[in-house]
Amino acid sequence: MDFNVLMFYVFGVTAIAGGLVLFFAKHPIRSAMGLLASMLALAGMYAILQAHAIAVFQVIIYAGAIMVLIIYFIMLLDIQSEEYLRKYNKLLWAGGIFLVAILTLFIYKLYNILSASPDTFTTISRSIDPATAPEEFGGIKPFSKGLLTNYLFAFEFVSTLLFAAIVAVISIVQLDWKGRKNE
Amino acid sequence: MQSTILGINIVYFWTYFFVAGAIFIFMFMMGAVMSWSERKQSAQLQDRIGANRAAIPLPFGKKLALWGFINNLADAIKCLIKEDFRPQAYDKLMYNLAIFFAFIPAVLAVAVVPFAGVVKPAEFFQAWYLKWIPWLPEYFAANLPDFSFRVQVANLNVGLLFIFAIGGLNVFGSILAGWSSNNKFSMMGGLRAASQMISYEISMGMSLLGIIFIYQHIDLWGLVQAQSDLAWGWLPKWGIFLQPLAFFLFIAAAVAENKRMPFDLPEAESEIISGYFLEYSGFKMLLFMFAEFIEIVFVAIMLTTLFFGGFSVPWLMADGFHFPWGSYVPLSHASVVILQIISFQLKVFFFCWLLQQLRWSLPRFRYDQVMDLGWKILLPLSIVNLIITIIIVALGGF
Repeated sequence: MDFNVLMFYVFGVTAIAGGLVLFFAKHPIRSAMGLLASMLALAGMYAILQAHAIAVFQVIIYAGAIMVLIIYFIMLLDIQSEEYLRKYNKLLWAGGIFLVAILTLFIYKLYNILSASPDTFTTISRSIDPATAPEEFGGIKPFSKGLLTNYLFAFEFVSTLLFAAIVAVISIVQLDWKGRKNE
Repeated sequence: MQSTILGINIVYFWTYFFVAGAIFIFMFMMGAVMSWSERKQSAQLQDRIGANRAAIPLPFGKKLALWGFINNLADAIKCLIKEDFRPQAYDKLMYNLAIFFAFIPAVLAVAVVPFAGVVKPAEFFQAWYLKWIPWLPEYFAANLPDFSFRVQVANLNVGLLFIFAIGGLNVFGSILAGWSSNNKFSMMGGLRAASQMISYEISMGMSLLGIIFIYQHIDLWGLVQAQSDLAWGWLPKWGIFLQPLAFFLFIAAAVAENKRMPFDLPEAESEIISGYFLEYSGFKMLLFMFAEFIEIVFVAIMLTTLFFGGFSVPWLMADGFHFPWGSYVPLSHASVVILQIISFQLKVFFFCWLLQQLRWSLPRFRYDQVMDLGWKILLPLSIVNLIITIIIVALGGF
């Protein structure tokens, strides 16, 4: 068996297993670790696809920064409290609706792509083959060029979104300008 | 057509297997040497003798103590056979997982570091002092005359970022260990470790941006190649000469990242016993300590690769020494490779010594001082350094 194919199965199974752990683990920190495993496996997938820059950013941003924050907050939660152990069964229907909607959208899009050109996936897999892929494919240079030219607006727009989120958090916890909590 | 293993050419497979194994063994040996020199060097600094009692008895009343080296062996055996004491209520899975998160990133990150230049086996084994080796010289000369490889496990295009990505996973070890032990001291240690490591990662990354700007490379191979060039015909373009401020910023941030003495708040003995790995005993505790030693070696490797030209020897080209005063000393390919390996190891040894000297000569900071240093001094200074570097590069310097 080809090494890349073998690693594809290893990472694929890890990603799905991590996702399942995220959903079914009782304890929030185990859920977080499931999510971490899933993130790392996705990074491995990107690496197989020769997209090294995206793989590394996946690990730096998601595994290294966001997961650390999530686990940091879970550590500070009072996990003995019943509130965190209660199952949110009442909200299951909403999740179900969203799942069906997203799945439908996904399958519809896939169907559209494949009916328009049935050999899409073979073309994609040929373009990521190291033997035929363009020079420096997936490296840091084309990534940063793309980020600072074609996708600059989206990139900056997302950062404004994050800024809005920070403002929203401050307004939710209702700090005044001296950092004290408003009563 | 060569035969393959898992779709990989068998010669490539065994070459990289050998290189990766050698680097892996090097890291572990260095970890052992560090745990020995930690004792002996601290003893020298404090006017003591240091560990010297553990010894292997020899005939005629002699003892083999190897200047305290046997103490390492005795420690390992002791930690293996002593009781594995665990806390009463703890999260078993996370408790055991934490060791992996502390240990694996330290060993894994070295995968992108070049330990020596290009090796051409067909030419390498032709040196007069290597010709006695059976079979290998004839095999490479006959079958693979053009085969060459780099003494590096993986030449990733994103080298430096890979190190940051893998190093960023290290923090999970401290957090999980502190949280899962179900102990207030451990928890304090875990929290301190997490906030300290996240804070210093930023200034560590910022201090290295200048290096990337100057050399226009982010893979470590390219960085080392760029550093082996000469400025004005005689000065090696090492990072320390072009980015002296970044060197000091990086060394401070890296020691903080390593949680060593001036920054060892997460494991401060006098305040929180031994912090996040307080509840680990026996070999698990030893693994945490060992991971810390391997991290010191890794910091030394980073300093060598980024600021001291990696494996490059001043004025050594692929065919011998070209001294700036015009003389030329021809060397065989094997000699050049061996000189590069020795040069790399010597630099790493020097920085290991320096980092341990730092650890035993500086007192511990207070926690607010640690945070102030990271956010109010190192980060602004690294940004200033970056701005100055950008201006000089834009004006056409370097």
